[in-house]
Amino acid sequence: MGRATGLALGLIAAVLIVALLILAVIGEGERSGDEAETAGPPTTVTAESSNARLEVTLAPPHAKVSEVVMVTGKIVNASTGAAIEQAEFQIVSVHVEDDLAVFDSTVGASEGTFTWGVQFWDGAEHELRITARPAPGASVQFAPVTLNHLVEVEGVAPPLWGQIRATLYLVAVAAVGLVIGIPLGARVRGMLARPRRPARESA
Amino acid sequence: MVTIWRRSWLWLAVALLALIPSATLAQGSSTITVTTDPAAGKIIPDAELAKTTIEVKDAQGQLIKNAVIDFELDAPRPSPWISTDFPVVEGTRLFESRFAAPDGRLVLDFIWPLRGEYRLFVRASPAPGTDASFAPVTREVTLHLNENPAERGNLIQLLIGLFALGLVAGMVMGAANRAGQPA
Repeated sequence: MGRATGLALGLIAAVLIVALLILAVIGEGERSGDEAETAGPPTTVTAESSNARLEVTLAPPHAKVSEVVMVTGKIVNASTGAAIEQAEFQIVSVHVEDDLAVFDSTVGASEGTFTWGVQFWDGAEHELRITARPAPGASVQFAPVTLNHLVEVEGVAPPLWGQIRATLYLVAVAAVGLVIGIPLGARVRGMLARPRRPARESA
Repeated sequence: MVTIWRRSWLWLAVALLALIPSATLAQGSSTITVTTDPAAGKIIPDAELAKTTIEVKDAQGQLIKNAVIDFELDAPRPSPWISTDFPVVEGTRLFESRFAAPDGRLVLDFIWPLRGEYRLFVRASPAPGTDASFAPVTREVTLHLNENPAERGNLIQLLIGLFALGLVAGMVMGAANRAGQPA
Protein backbone atom coordinates (compact mmCIF):
# COMPACT_ATOMS: atom_id res chain seq x y z
CA MET A 1 0.00 0.00 0.00
CA GLY A 2 2.74 2.46 1.05
CA ARG A 3 5.03 1.63 -1.85
CA ALA A 4 2.12 1.80 -4.29
CA THR A 5 1.16 5.28 -3.06
CA GLY A 6 4.74 6.49 -3.32
CA LEU A 7 5.09 5.05 -6.80
CA ALA A 8 1.85 6.71 -7.90
CA LEU A 9 2.86 10.13 -6.55
CA GLY A 10 6.30 9.86 -8.13
CA LEU A 11 4.74 8.91 -11.45
CA ILE A 12 2.32 11.85 -11.32
CA ALA A 13 5.21 14.24 -10.55
CA ALA A 14 7.28 12.84 -13.43
CA VAL A 15 4.34 13.12 -15.86
CA LEU A 16 3.73 16.74 -14.80
CA ILE A 17 7.38 17.66 -15.33
CA VAL A 18 7.48 16.05 -18.77
CA ALA A 19 4.14 17.71 -19.70
CA LEU A 20 5.50 21.13 -18.69
CA LEU A 21 8.61 20.64 -20.79
CA ILE A 22 6.56 19.47 -23.79
CA LEU A 23 4.30 22.52 -23.47
CA ALA A 24 7.37 24.75 -23.36
CA VAL A 25 8.79 23.18 -26.52
CA ILE A 26 5.44 23.39 -28.35
CA GLY A 27 5.01 27.04 -27.32
CA GLU A 28 8.50 27.84 -28.57
CA GLY A 29 7.67 26.29 -31.95
CA GLU A 30 4.38 28.18 -32.31
CA ARG A 31 5.87 31.52 -31.38
CA SER A 32 8.79 31.18 -33.75
CA GLY A 33 6.29 31.09 -36.65
CA ASP A 34 5.21 34.70 -36.07
CA GLU A 35 8.59 36.32 -36.58
CA ALA A 36 7.92 37.98 -39.93
CA GLU A 37 5.37 40.44 -38.50
CA THR A 38 7.90 43.08 -37.43
CA ALA A 39 9.50 43.33 -40.86
CA GLY A 40 8.42 46.04 -43.27
CA PRO A 41 9.36 49.48 -44.52
CA PRO A 42 9.48 52.39 -42.08
CA THR A 43 6.17 54.06 -41.44
CA THR A 44 5.65 57.80 -41.01
CA VAL A 45 2.77 59.34 -39.11
CA THR A 46 2.03 63.03 -38.94
CA ALA A 47 0.00 65.53 -36.95
CA GLU A 48 -0.54 69.20 -37.65
CA SER A 49 -1.39 72.36 -35.83
CA SER A 50 -2.24 75.63 -37.52
CA ASN A 51 1.32 76.38 -38.62
CA ALA A 52 3.46 73.35 -37.82
CA ARG A 53 3.58 69.69 -38.80
CA LEU A 54 5.07 66.92 -36.68
CA GLU A 55 6.43 63.95 -38.61
CA VAL A 56 7.38 60.79 -36.74
CA THR A 57 8.94 57.79 -38.45
CA LEU A 58 9.21 54.30 -36.97
CA ALA A 59 11.66 51.77 -38.38
CA PRO A 60 10.53 49.03 -38.30
CA PRO A 61 6.84 49.95 -37.93
CA HIS A 62 6.12 47.13 -35.46
CA ALA A 63 8.27 46.43 -32.45
CA LYS A 64 9.63 43.19 -31.08
CA VAL A 65 10.98 42.56 -27.63
CA SER A 66 14.80 42.49 -27.66
CA GLU A 67 15.05 44.71 -30.75
CA VAL A 68 15.40 48.48 -31.04
CA VAL A 69 12.89 50.57 -32.97
CA MET A 70 14.30 53.80 -34.34
CA VAL A 71 11.79 56.58 -33.74
CA THR A 72 12.77 59.79 -35.46
CA GLY A 73 10.82 63.00 -35.18
CA LYS A 74 10.84 66.27 -37.05
CA ILE A 75 8.88 69.46 -36.63
CA VAL A 76 8.47 71.50 -39.79
CA ASN A 77 6.68 74.57 -40.98
CA ALA A 78 3.31 73.31 -42.26
CA SER A 79 3.35 75.47 -45.37
CA THR A 80 7.02 75.51 -46.39
CA GLY A 81 8.18 72.15 -45.03
CA ALA A 82 11.32 73.74 -43.56
CA ALA A 83 12.54 72.40 -40.23
CA ILE A 84 11.65 74.56 -37.24
CA GLU A 85 14.71 75.07 -35.11
CA GLN A 86 14.74 75.69 -31.37
CA ALA A 87 11.94 73.28 -30.60
CA GLU A 88 11.53 70.74 -27.86
CA PHE A 89 9.78 67.39 -27.80
CA GLN A 90 7.98 65.66 -24.99
CA ILE A 91 8.19 61.94 -25.63
CA VAL A 92 5.92 59.64 -23.66
CA SER A 93 5.60 55.90 -24.09
CA VAL A 94 2.65 54.32 -22.31
CA HIS A 95 2.21 50.62 -21.61
CA VAL A 96 -1.46 50.45 -22.67
CA GLU A 97 -2.48 47.34 -20.71
CA ASP A 98 -1.15 48.72 -17.42
CA ASP A 99 -1.85 52.38 -18.34
CA LEU A 100 1.68 53.09 -17.17
CA ALA A 101 4.19 55.56 -18.62
CA VAL A 102 7.46 53.71 -19.11
CA PHE A 103 9.25 56.68 -20.69
CA ASP A 104 8.40 60.33 -20.15
CA SER A 105 11.00 62.92 -21.06
CA THR A 106 11.29 66.32 -22.63
CA VAL A 107 14.28 66.78 -24.90
CA GLY A 108 15.65 69.74 -26.80
CA ALA A 109 15.92 69.82 -30.57
CA SER A 110 18.15 72.58 -31.85
CA GLU A 111 17.57 71.46 -35.45
CA GLY A 112 13.94 70.50 -34.95
CA THR A 113 14.67 66.77 -34.96
CA PHE A 114 15.28 63.93 -32.55
CA THR A 115 16.38 60.31 -32.85
CA TRP A 116 15.12 57.93 -30.23
CA GLY A 117 16.12 54.30 -30.56
CA VAL A 118 14.09 52.37 -28.03
CA GLN A 119 13.36 48.79 -27.15
CA PHE A 120 9.83 48.01 -25.98
CA TRP A 121 10.88 45.36 -23.50
CA ASP A 122 7.40 44.12 -22.60
CA GLY A 123 5.45 42.32 -25.31
CA ALA A 124 2.33 44.46 -25.05
CA GLU A 125 0.84 47.33 -26.99
CA HIS A 126 2.40 50.74 -26.30
CA GLU A 127 1.13 54.18 -27.16
CA LEU A 128 3.55 56.91 -28.17
CA ARG A 129 2.44 60.41 -27.24
CA ILE A 130 4.82 62.92 -28.76
CA THR A 131 4.34 66.64 -28.40
CA ALA A 132 6.42 69.30 -30.17
CA ARG A 133 6.47 72.85 -28.86
CA PRO A 134 8.78 75.87 -29.18
CA ALA A 135 11.80 75.82 -26.89
CA PRO A 136 11.81 78.53 -24.20
CA GLY A 137 12.93 81.79 -25.82
CA ALA A 138 12.67 80.43 -29.36
CA SER A 139 12.47 83.01 -32.14
CA VAL A 140 9.93 80.99 -34.13
CA GLN A 141 6.68 80.30 -32.34
CA PHE A 142 4.09 77.69 -33.30
CA ALA A 143 1.10 76.02 -31.72
CA PRO A 144 2.12 72.80 -29.91
CA VAL A 145 1.45 69.64 -31.93
CA THR A 146 0.68 66.29 -30.34
CA LEU A 147 0.80 62.95 -32.08
CA ASN A 148 -0.53 59.68 -30.63
CA HIS A 149 0.47 56.40 -32.20
CA LEU A 150 -0.09 52.80 -31.13
CA VAL A 151 2.86 50.45 -31.46
CA GLU A 152 2.27 46.73 -31.57
CA VAL A 153 4.99 44.85 -29.73
CA GLU A 154 5.65 41.21 -30.47
CA GLY A 155 6.56 39.19 -27.41
CA VAL A 156 9.38 36.69 -27.50
CA ALA A 157 9.33 33.48 -25.47
CA PRO A 158 12.18 32.94 -23.04
CA PRO A 159 14.92 30.64 -24.33
CA LEU A 160 14.03 26.94 -23.98
CA TRP A 161 17.08 26.25 -21.85
CA GLY A 162 15.99 29.00 -19.45
CA GLN A 163 12.53 27.41 -19.12
CA ILE A 164 14.03 23.96 -18.51
CA ARG A 165 16.45 25.41 -15.96
CA ALA A 166 13.65 27.21 -14.09
CA THR A 167 11.52 24.03 -14.09
CA LEU A 168 14.46 22.02 -12.72
CA TYR A 169 15.06 24.58 -9.95
CA LEU A 170 11.41 24.52 -8.89
CA VAL A 171 11.28 20.72 -9.01
CA ALA A 172 14.49 20.59 -6.97
CA VAL A 173 12.95 22.75 -4.23
CA ALA A 174 9.90 20.46 -4.05
CA ALA A 175 12.23 17.43 -4.13
CA VAL A 176 14.16 18.75 -1.13
CA GLY A 177 10.87 19.01 0.77
CA LEU A 178 10.02 15.49 -0.36
CA VAL A 179 13.35 14.06 0.81
CA ILE A 180 12.95 15.69 4.22
CA GLY A 181 9.25 14.76 4.44
CA ILE A 182 9.53 11.01 3.77
CA PRO A 183 11.54 10.06 6.89
CA LEU A 184 9.65 12.68 8.90
CA GLY A 185 6.29 11.15 7.91
CA ALA A 186 7.51 7.65 8.72
CA ARG A 187 8.74 8.81 12.10
CA VAL A 188 5.48 10.58 12.95
CA ARG A 189 3.50 7.55 11.85
CA GLY A 190 5.71 5.31 13.99
CA MET A 191 5.21 7.50 17.04
CA LEU A 192 1.44 7.51 16.55
CA ALA A 193 1.30 3.76 15.98
CA ARG A 194 3.37 2.93 19.10
CA PRO A 195 1.06 1.27 21.71
CA ARG A 196 0.39 3.45 24.70
CA ARG A 197 1.56 2.25 28.05
CA PRO A 198 -1.38 1.02 30.12
CA ALA A 199 -2.41 3.32 32.89
CA ARG A 200 -1.08 2.34 36.30
CA GLU A 201 -3.73 0.44 38.18
CA SER A 202 -4.63 1.84 41.50
CA ALA A 203 -4.12 -0.45 44.50
CA MET B 1 76.34 77.98 -12.69
CA VAL B 2 75.46 76.38 -16.05
CA THR B 3 73.26 73.85 -14.28
CA ILE B 4 71.33 76.59 -12.49
CA TRP B 5 70.88 78.44 -15.81
CA ARG B 6 69.52 75.30 -17.48
CA ARG B 7 67.15 74.63 -14.60
CA SER B 8 65.83 78.18 -14.82
CA TRP B 9 65.03 77.69 -18.50
CA LEU B 10 63.38 74.40 -17.68
CA TRP B 11 61.13 75.98 -15.07
CA LEU B 12 60.31 78.84 -17.42
CA ALA B 13 59.34 76.41 -20.16
CA VAL B 14 57.10 74.47 -17.77
CA ALA B 15 55.43 77.71 -16.65
CA LEU B 16 54.79 78.75 -20.26
CA LEU B 17 53.35 75.35 -21.12
CA ALA B 18 51.03 75.65 -18.19
CA LEU B 19 49.78 79.07 -19.35
CA ILE B 20 49.64 78.94 -23.14
CA PRO B 21 47.47 75.90 -23.84
CA SER B 22 44.89 76.64 -21.16
CA ALA B 23 42.06 76.94 -23.70
CA THR B 24 43.03 73.70 -25.38
CA LEU B 25 43.19 71.91 -22.05
CA ALA B 26 39.80 73.30 -21.10
CA GLN B 27 38.32 71.81 -24.24
CA GLY B 28 40.07 68.53 -23.74
CA SER B 29 38.99 68.24 -20.15
CA SER B 30 35.25 68.42 -20.75
CA THR B 31 33.50 65.93 -18.59
CA ILE B 32 30.25 63.99 -18.61
CA THR B 33 28.45 63.29 -15.38
CA VAL B 34 25.65 60.76 -15.06
CA THR B 35 23.38 60.76 -12.04
CA THR B 36 20.16 58.98 -11.24
CA ASP B 37 17.33 59.88 -8.91
CA PRO B 38 16.88 57.77 -6.88
CA ALA B 39 20.42 56.41 -6.68
CA ALA B 40 21.00 53.34 -8.85
CA GLY B 41 20.90 50.94 -5.90
CA LYS B 42 17.47 52.25 -4.90
CA ILE B 43 15.81 52.20 -8.31
CA ILE B 44 13.04 49.60 -8.37
CA PRO B 45 13.15 47.84 -11.73
CA ASP B 46 9.95 47.19 -13.69
CA ALA B 47 8.00 49.41 -11.31
CA GLU B 48 8.53 53.15 -11.37
CA LEU B 49 10.08 55.95 -13.38
CA ALA B 50 13.61 56.96 -12.41
CA LYS B 51 15.29 60.16 -13.49
CA THR B 52 18.63 59.88 -15.29
CA THR B 53 20.52 63.15 -15.75
CA ILE B 54 23.45 63.52 -18.11
CA GLU B 55 25.46 66.74 -17.92
CA VAL B 56 28.30 67.96 -20.10
CA LYS B 57 30.64 70.34 -18.28
CA ASP B 58 33.77 72.25 -19.14
CA ALA B 59 36.97 72.34 -17.10
CA GLN B 60 35.45 74.97 -14.81
CA GLY B 61 32.45 72.80 -14.06
CA GLN B 62 30.07 74.94 -16.12
CA LEU B 63 27.47 73.30 -18.35
CA ILE B 64 28.44 73.43 -22.01
CA LYS B 65 25.65 74.88 -24.10
CA ASN B 66 24.49 73.54 -27.46
CA ALA B 67 25.71 69.99 -27.05
CA VAL B 68 24.38 66.88 -28.73
CA ILE B 69 24.28 63.78 -26.57
CA ASP B 70 24.40 60.26 -27.96
CA PHE B 71 23.05 57.87 -25.39
CA GLU B 72 23.23 54.06 -25.42
CA LEU B 73 21.99 51.79 -22.68
CA ASP B 74 22.53 48.03 -22.62
CA ALA B 75 20.58 45.72 -20.34
CA PRO B 76 22.46 43.48 -17.89
CA ARG B 77 24.10 40.44 -19.40
CA PRO B 78 22.42 37.09 -18.77
CA SER B 79 23.56 35.05 -15.80
CA PRO B 80 24.35 31.36 -16.42
CA TRP B 81 22.46 30.40 -13.24
CA ILE B 82 19.39 32.55 -12.64
CA SER B 83 17.48 34.59 -15.19
CA THR B 84 15.36 37.68 -14.64
CA ASP B 85 11.67 38.29 -15.40
CA PHE B 86 12.61 39.24 -18.96
CA PRO B 87 15.33 36.79 -20.01
CA VAL B 88 15.01 37.78 -23.66
CA VAL B 89 15.88 41.37 -22.79
CA GLU B 90 19.09 40.45 -20.95
CA GLY B 91 22.19 41.65 -22.79
CA THR B 92 20.22 43.59 -25.41
CA ARG B 93 20.21 47.29 -26.23
CA LEU B 94 17.47 49.34 -24.57
CA PHE B 95 18.20 52.81 -25.93
CA GLU B 96 20.23 54.16 -28.81
CA SER B 97 19.37 57.81 -29.05
CA ARG B 98 20.62 61.21 -30.06
CA PHE B 99 19.13 64.21 -28.35
CA ALA B 100 20.08 67.86 -28.39
CA ALA B 101 21.03 69.37 -25.05
CA PRO B 102 20.83 73.15 -25.60
CA ASP B 103 21.80 73.85 -21.99
CA GLY B 104 24.25 70.94 -21.71
CA ARG B 105 21.90 68.78 -19.71
CA LEU B 106 19.72 65.83 -20.71
CA VAL B 107 17.11 64.50 -18.32
CA LEU B 108 15.41 61.20 -19.11
CA ASP B 109 12.67 59.60 -17.06
CA PHE B 110 12.10 55.92 -17.73
CA ILE B 111 11.48 52.57 -16.10
CA TRP B 112 14.49 50.30 -15.87
CA PRO B 113 13.30 46.78 -16.69
CA LEU B 114 15.66 44.40 -14.87
CA ARG B 115 17.96 43.97 -11.93
CA GLY B 116 21.68 43.69 -12.66
CA GLU B 117 24.51 45.69 -14.10
CA TYR B 118 23.71 48.07 -16.95
CA ARG B 119 26.22 49.56 -19.34
CA LEU B 120 25.63 53.18 -20.26
CA PHE B 121 27.62 54.81 -23.03
CA VAL B 122 27.42 58.58 -23.51
CA ARG B 123 29.04 60.77 -26.13
CA ALA B 124 28.75 64.54 -26.19
CA SER B 125 29.69 66.69 -29.16
CA PRO B 126 28.94 70.23 -30.36
CA ALA B 127 25.54 70.69 -32.00
CA PRO B 128 25.95 71.35 -35.75
CA GLY B 129 25.21 74.89 -36.81
CA THR B 130 25.84 76.38 -33.39
CA ASP B 131 28.75 78.28 -31.90
CA ALA B 132 29.62 75.43 -29.55
CA SER B 133 33.20 74.24 -29.94
CA PHE B 134 34.60 71.56 -27.72
CA ALA B 135 36.30 68.29 -28.33
CA PRO B 136 33.79 65.42 -28.34
CA VAL B 137 33.91 63.55 -25.08
CA THR B 138 32.73 60.05 -24.24
CA ARG B 139 32.03 58.22 -21.04
CA GLU B 140 31.05 54.67 -20.18
CA VAL B 141 29.29 54.03 -16.91
CA THR B 142 28.05 50.86 -15.26
CA LEU B 143 25.05 51.02 -12.97
CA HIS B 144 23.90 48.22 -10.71
CA LEU B 145 20.22 47.82 -9.85
CA ASN B 146 18.86 45.51 -7.18
CA GLU B 147 15.89 43.22 -7.62
CA ASN B 148 12.38 44.59 -7.22
CA PRO B 149 11.48 43.80 -3.55
CA ALA B 150 7.93 42.76 -4.53
CA GLU B 151 9.24 40.27 -7.07
CA ARG B 152 11.80 38.96 -4.59
CA GLY B 153 8.94 38.46 -2.11
CA ASN B 154 6.87 36.60 -4.72
CA LEU B 155 9.79 34.29 -5.47
CA ILE B 156 10.32 33.53 -1.77
CA GLN B 157 6.62 32.75 -1.36
CA LEU B 158 6.68 30.43 -4.37
CA LEU B 159 9.75 28.59 -3.06
CA ILE B 160 8.24 28.23 0.40
CA GLY B 161 5.01 26.92 -1.15
CA LEU B 162 6.84 24.37 -3.29
CA PHE B 163 8.98 23.26 -0.37
CA ALA B 164 5.87 22.87 1.82
CA LEU B 165 4.15 20.91 -0.95
CA GLY B 166 7.12 18.57 -1.22
CA LEU B 167 7.34 18.24 2.54
CA VAL B 168 3.65 17.34 2.95
CA ALA B 169 3.78 14.94 0.01
CA GLY B 170 6.90 13.34 1.48
CA MET B 171 5.29 12.98 4.89
CA VAL B 172 2.23 11.32 3.33
CA MET B 173 4.46 8.94 1.39
CA GLY B 174 6.66 8.24 4.41
CA ALA B 175 3.65 7.59 6.67
CA ALA B 176 2.03 5.34 4.07
CA ASN B 177 5.27 3.43 3.60
CA ARG B 178 5.68 3.01 7.37
CA ALA B 179 2.09 1.74 7.66
CA GLY B 180 2.85 -1.00 5.13
CA GLN B 181 5.81 -2.29 7.13
CA PRO B 182 5.46 -4.81 9.98
CA ALA B 183 5.51 -3.19 13.43
